[in-house]
Amino acid sequence: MNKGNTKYYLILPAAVLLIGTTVIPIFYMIYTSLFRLDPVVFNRAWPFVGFQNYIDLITKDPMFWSSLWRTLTFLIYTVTPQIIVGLFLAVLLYREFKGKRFVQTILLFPILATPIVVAMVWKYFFDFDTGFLNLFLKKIGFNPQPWLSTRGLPLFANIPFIGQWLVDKFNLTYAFRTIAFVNFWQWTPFCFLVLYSGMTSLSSEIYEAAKIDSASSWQTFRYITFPLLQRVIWAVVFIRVIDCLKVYAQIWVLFGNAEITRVINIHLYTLGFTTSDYGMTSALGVIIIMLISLLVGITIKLGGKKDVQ
Amino acid sequence: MYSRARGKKLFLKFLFYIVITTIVVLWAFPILWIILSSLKTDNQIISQNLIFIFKPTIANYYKIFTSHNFNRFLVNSSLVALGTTVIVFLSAFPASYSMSRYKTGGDTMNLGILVTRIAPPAAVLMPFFIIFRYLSLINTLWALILVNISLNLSFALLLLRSFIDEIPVSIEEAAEIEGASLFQRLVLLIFPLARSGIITTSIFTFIFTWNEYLFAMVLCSSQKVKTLPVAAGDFVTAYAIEWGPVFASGTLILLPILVLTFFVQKYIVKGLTIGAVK
Repeated sequence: MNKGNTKYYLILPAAVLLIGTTVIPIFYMIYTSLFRLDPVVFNRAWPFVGFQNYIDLITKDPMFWSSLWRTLTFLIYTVTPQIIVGLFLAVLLYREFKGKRFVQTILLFPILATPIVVAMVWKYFFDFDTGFLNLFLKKIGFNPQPWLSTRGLPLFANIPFIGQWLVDKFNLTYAFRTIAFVNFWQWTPFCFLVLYSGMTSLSSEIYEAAKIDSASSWQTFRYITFPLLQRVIWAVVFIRVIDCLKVYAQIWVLFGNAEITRVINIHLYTLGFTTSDYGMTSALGVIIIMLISLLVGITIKLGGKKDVQ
Repeated sequence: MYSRARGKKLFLKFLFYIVITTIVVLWAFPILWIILSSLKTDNQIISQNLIFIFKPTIANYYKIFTSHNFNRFLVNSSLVALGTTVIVFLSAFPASYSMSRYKTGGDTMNLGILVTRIAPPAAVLMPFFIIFRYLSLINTLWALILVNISLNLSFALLLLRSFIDEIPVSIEEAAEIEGASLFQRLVLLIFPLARSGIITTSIFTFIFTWNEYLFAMVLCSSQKVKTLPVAAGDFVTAYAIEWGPVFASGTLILLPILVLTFFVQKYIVKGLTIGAVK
């Protein structure tokens, strides 16, 4: 099947598109990050500033470090419960029962639902005065909760002395919990789905054997499912880390560019289109891509899996 | 003893169904509530009572289509999503065949695909904005199609290649002996055999493009080229939120996704799990 150049002709359209719409923009971004570039100088010669944009970001922009740290806490608050609950759902729904297919269909939908529509619904559900949750709480005799407020969660804020520090440092606010929850709602079903299909690809004989040896369900999980699933679990963690770092629309719809929920992507948008500093925004884009490559490298090393896609 | 064991079993079964019900309510109710609320009047939506039974009205839909120009946005969204899907398919199908059979591109191609898969779209927002400004593509649908190609092509290549990898080479060798050209093999043999992969890839490209918000907001903000998510987002980020139009536009946006989830579920599950489980 050797046809000389044919294989290159076949790949040509995709290669041209990939270079044109991905490689060139990324290199162009590295180039523009070295200039002072804003709407004022846009149609003139851009003053070359070397690495000044990078230095300014790191030393003069207080929101750079805080939004990076916020992104990291967001990552931990979202990915951890998603994996745990996803695993729980996979184990729970593994058995046969009436209505299993129905439950699976229900769980499939949120994954593909439009992120901004999901955020819109939850914005309504969490609304203080007319939102579904508070109306429901009032109806069954509880106090309404300020779900969307920027205040600290009482559980942490009421700890004496260090309460406020904890809240500020680790983003333990209502608003932050809400953006984490919306992400949890949309993506836990994905973790479930992947882990579930990972479980169905394990041999059923091993479960039969465990049953005969009268292992408890916890033992079965701890000594059979969990070790065998480890590779799949790492793959899910990997995918979720990547996708959590892409989150933009949900946070934007819920809180705009409020500081309290400003993760790195929101900060980049603000820098680019509110402050209108195009050069610095390019520098931030370059830094984000470098940091993520690093993070992905670490995840792959930790998981010991080199062929994750 | 016997009845006690039985009691325990019944209790566990009861507990199991409680948990299942909670799961269903948590994940189905918000979606159901959008659809229900889109058929309510504004007063019913912001009422202090929870209203489950009411006389449905299509006033909100009427409003977004007549006074908010949603017919235009619907056309824009469909053009961008379909345009992207067609171009991604036409370029990814021969390329993924070449990558699968001849390992064309090798590690360079794989690395390029991995980088585009992991880079957050927001990071490359700026270069697209500047380049499209120079090319006078801001506020054109082509800008969005090009961006969405960038966001979807690498995933499409990965997905399609893994489907084509599963087609045995021996079938093709037989066809080659019969004198079938490469083009004939691609169209008459690989295309039907990779059908489920092609459907999966197209569904995903379509949905991801349909859902895209950030670039559409930055690159296409004028009334003429706005897409549905941006128009819907405008309602919610406004100072005073009109919930009626919010729910109507939300339902409209979710509709094709709901239909796809229910009717081509098999492909969606396959597409979502193939990368991770393999």
